[in-house]
Amino acid sequence: MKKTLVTLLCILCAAFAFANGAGESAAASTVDTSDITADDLRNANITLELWHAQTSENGIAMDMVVDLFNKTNEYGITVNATCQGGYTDCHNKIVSALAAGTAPNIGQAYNNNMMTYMPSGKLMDLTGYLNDGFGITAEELATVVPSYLEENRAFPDGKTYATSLGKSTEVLFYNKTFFDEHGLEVPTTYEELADVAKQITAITGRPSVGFDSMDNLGIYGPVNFGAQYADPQGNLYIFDENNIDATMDFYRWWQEGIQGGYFRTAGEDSYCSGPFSNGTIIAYIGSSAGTAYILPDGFEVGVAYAPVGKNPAVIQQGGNFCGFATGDPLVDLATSIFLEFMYDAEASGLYAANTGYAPSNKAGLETEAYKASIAAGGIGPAAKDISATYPDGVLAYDPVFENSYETRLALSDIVEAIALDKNADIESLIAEAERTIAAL
Amino acid sequence: MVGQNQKKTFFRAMLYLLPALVIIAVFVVYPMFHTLRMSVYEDFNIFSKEGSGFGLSSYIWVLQDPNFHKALANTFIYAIVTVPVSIALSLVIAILLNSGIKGSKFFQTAYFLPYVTNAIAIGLAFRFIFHSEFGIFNKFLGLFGIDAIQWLNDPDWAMFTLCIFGIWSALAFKIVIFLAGLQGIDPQLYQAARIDEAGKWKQFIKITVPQLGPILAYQFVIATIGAFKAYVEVVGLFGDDGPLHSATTMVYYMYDKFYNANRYTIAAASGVIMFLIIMVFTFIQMHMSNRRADQ
Amino acid sequence: MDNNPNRIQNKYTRALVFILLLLGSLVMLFPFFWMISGSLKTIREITSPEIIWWPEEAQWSNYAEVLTMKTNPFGIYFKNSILVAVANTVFTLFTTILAAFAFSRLEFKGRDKLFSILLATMMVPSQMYIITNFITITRMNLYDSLWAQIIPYTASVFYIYLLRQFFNQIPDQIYLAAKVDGCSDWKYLWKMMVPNAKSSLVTIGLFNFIASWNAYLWPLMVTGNINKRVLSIGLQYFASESGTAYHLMMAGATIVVLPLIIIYLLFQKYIIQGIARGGLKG
Repeated sequence: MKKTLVTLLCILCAAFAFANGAGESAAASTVDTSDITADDLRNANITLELWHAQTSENGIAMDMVVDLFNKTNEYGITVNATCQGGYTDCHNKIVSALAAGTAPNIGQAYNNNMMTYMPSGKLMDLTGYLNDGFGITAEELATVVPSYLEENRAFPDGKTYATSLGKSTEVLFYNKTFFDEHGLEVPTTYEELADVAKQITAITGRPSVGFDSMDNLGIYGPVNFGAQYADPQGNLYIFDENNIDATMDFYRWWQEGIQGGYFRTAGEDSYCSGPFSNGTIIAYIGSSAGTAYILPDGFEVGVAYAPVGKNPAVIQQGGNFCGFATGDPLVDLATSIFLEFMYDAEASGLYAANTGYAPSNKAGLETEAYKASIAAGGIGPAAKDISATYPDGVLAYDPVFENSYETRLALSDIVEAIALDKNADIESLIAEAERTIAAL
Repeated sequence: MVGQNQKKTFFRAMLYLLPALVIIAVFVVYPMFHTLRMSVYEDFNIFSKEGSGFGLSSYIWVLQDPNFHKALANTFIYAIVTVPVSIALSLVIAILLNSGIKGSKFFQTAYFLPYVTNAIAIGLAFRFIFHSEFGIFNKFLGLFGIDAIQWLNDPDWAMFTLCIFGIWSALAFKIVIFLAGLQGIDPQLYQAARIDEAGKWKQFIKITVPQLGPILAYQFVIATIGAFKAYVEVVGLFGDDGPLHSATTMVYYMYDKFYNANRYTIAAASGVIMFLIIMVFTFIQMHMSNRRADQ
Repeated sequence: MDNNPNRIQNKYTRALVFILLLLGSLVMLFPFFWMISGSLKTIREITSPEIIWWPEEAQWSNYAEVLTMKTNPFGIYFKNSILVAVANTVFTLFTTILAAFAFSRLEFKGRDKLFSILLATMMVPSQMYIITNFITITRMNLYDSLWAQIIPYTASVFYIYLLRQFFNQIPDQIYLAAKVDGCSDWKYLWKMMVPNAKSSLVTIGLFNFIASWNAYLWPLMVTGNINKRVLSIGLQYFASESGTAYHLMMAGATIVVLPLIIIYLLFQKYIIQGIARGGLKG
């Protein structure tokens, strides 16, 4: 027995030594493109790898954008795009490849996942590149949706690590036939939403308005009632003395809706589009990109801006693109040129035209491809157009910080708990969430 | 002389084991040590493979986390319910399938098919079965005047639903293994028993169970390990870990901490704790089945 | 059939057993049925919360759509899946037979301890291995190859343990008698043990084949080129962040499952021989 133990210990030590093998220095990449000319880039004949998370039609649209880049960029850069499954799969693969030293040049990921690439020292800081003489110009940059630019620098150090091609937002889907029949007004505020929901429930006798995402409601519910959520440095404000009243107001508003039987969650249906399609619910707040699953059973569907509170905030969602430094200034510059191309009017317009996403550049709205896709009509284009035309300042995003995933989860749990238990004690739910977050 | 002989046997045995051992050492044991190493740091840079804050802080964190307690409790409930029930059911079904009933070939295929059916298809089917308003289960219960149960929505029912699903999904594999095991039993044993006019039950106790002993032991050990590692079943049924995490399990916890929260040291520590728990259980089971075999 | 010693004699009991098995098989078959019926539905029918047992009009076009996608070539995936699953199963059976024999029949020092350690390795969830194994495969220069999908799974404690148990079922006397006759271990293994454990070997091979066929995360991790990818990855193509094209996915899933069913039916007779085989021919 003793011998076995000793042997085991030896193997253990050996494994530790082995596992410790490949250490890589974690140096942040610095930018200096001043000596590089366009000719240098052309002569280098650079090929870049792109790993993205877009499947099906979205994947085909992604390929179109990559093709457009390969054909039109003046530096002879070629991008090879591969779909790596969904966001989770793609993220896993990027982490592994970074650890193995075989990362692609460009990856698609949510910003909180990009946070975890940072310790590799490979995540490219794009701040300098955005303003260099290559890629996107200051003029083009000026028409990029401001909150997309903000989201991509909402990291703890305030640097820009990502660019966006297109995004979805939350919108309101409603049963237009039903609304017209009963002379109901489409709600634009939280107050009106609750009023309409009450009226409909009085008619149908069942919950009438659904909320697809508890994760979103957990943060943007309180925000719409005037609370501040958190900053990129990880300071949480939502429960502090300046914000707790607004936060509580929201929880009570939500609880009244549950107790009154007029609000509901997707629950066992996973998405509200199912019960909405067969008339079980009359309206819901969900993603503008999920319209392929709205298949109305004998009624007309209306799409409207999501109702807001006194501090209007509607979440924008979807993954972004980041670059991984290779140490070769030419290759890294090429990477930044492609990343900046995501903000291009033509590129984002083309992508938006072939998906359910809003273009990252407002000038993309004016492209022929995009206009044609909207003119085709239907629920999808209607939702897309709504998501693309929110006024500046309404669109919101989550800052990322250490443990932002778990913080979001804890807030989501509060609203879900209220939805599941009519008599939930809000104070103790808040206390529990605070404990969870404090322990992180 | 004896010593030399022993050495020779050992050497020969190693030759037989070499191919398997090499693969397992490289692709299972080595990553295991890597996990162990990650778990003893407070923070671990997965890219440079360097840890900081050597110590047991990750373990302490995990052991104090209420979500881990819940995952632990759920996993135990799941194992205690699904292991015996699924083994008993599959043994009975295997014996019936083996009893020369009409259409047994069709039945064998039917009971095997869940094993090859796509996991998402299974998840979809069960969501329809358990749907509170449109589901078959509640419609059936409605015939007896029982109110609709929120199988998938209610945190208090989630574990119950998960156990039903877990038992169902564990059957196909076990039935086929038992059938293969039943093939190994010498039919002359049963013929002798029939001459002695032993009843079916007596034959089952005196012949089937002892003859299936090694297979039965295997099923228990493997089923227990499988139940402790339940993850696919949870995600298949709920899409996540159930309403308010009510159906979370140890592996779900570990997976979430690793891939979603990217807290590698916490995930690794919970993995090691899990490993220790399953190991204790397996050794108890092995010890019990060995003792029974010795008797 | 009458010489089956397990045959239930009583006519009524037999009928009762038949009905019970029939009911049970309905429960077992429902998801399978749901997959096929789903593969013929429209997206509206398949996402409806209400139960639609069978589509009003079978959408065979779902299958055509799945099979003719240029960006997701099922033909190439199919070829790769076959290569990977067959190679993987052959190698696994080889390593498993050798190791199970050593653990079952060779009395070497430390046998039980080694076996316990191997068993212990089954207890860490495989999700923990992935990153380390990815690095190992990359260092072996196997990224983006079929070998990367085959090699890590060519030995399995799970099957070694199972086969050891089956081998243990074969009476020891035969082994000892063969040894007395001067039969070498190697010859005995292949001439006696393997033929006698045919049903269990087929079972193990079948399960391994299915596992390899359905593996998703690992094959995705170690491939980047679409020409090296397998069917299970092609299936996931229908799922996106904004929802899943369930009708196409079910059509794809049905196509993926079909070869497994055929293989099962081909080998079924080895797993279940209706007792007519007559036990061990020692």
